Amino acid sequence: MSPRAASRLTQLGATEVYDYVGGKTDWLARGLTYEGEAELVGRHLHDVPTCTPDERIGAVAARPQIDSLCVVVGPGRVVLGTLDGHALTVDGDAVVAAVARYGPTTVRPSEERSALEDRMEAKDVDHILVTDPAGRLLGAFRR
Amino acid sequence: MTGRHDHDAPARPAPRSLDLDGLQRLLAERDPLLIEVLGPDDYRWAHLPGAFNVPLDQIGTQLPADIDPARPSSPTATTSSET
Repeated sequence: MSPRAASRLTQLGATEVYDYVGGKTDWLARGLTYEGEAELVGRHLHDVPTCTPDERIGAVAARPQIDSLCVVVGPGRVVLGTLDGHALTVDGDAVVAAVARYGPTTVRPSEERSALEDRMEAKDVDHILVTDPAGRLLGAFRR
Repeated sequence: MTGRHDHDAPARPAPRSLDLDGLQRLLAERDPLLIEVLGPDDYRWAHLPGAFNVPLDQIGTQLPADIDPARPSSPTATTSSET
């Protein structure tokens, strides 16, 4: 709709009109701030610790904020996998890449909070990772 | 023939397309008018910070009074049915 609106405004005399191609859908999917009544996941994110594939498990586990989950990220914070509590205790000399679980389920920040909570409850999931359309980590959502 | 009418019409600058980076630069540098062109229900649900609502189907034959023709402006709404 925005291309048509942009053309219409131009026809009516606006002299400098820009068409934000992605529009509101793109904006919300990236977790950017918004105004309105919607309760989207992006408003309810928690920080989550991260590590990289080449780190040693012992070094990761020694960080004070890590207990039961660490998200394995690549360049640009793209989500690659996760380490759970068990993986963080098995072998301190192992590299993260060797014990990580790859391809975790992720959602977009533009999801409605209540609908996601219902799905998570049905699957007995207490947290889920939230990424932008490029797969970059934005945080975790907990029900 | 419609040629005379077309030749006499004043040239209108075509809208320029922006991606998110471009929009954020515009927001930082030019204070554009953000326009939510979906209906009021969609506007109440969510809109970009500072955007105001001018539903496309309510734009008539004149530029809405809220829109300064010389100020940069950008419609911000898309729908999944857009083609």
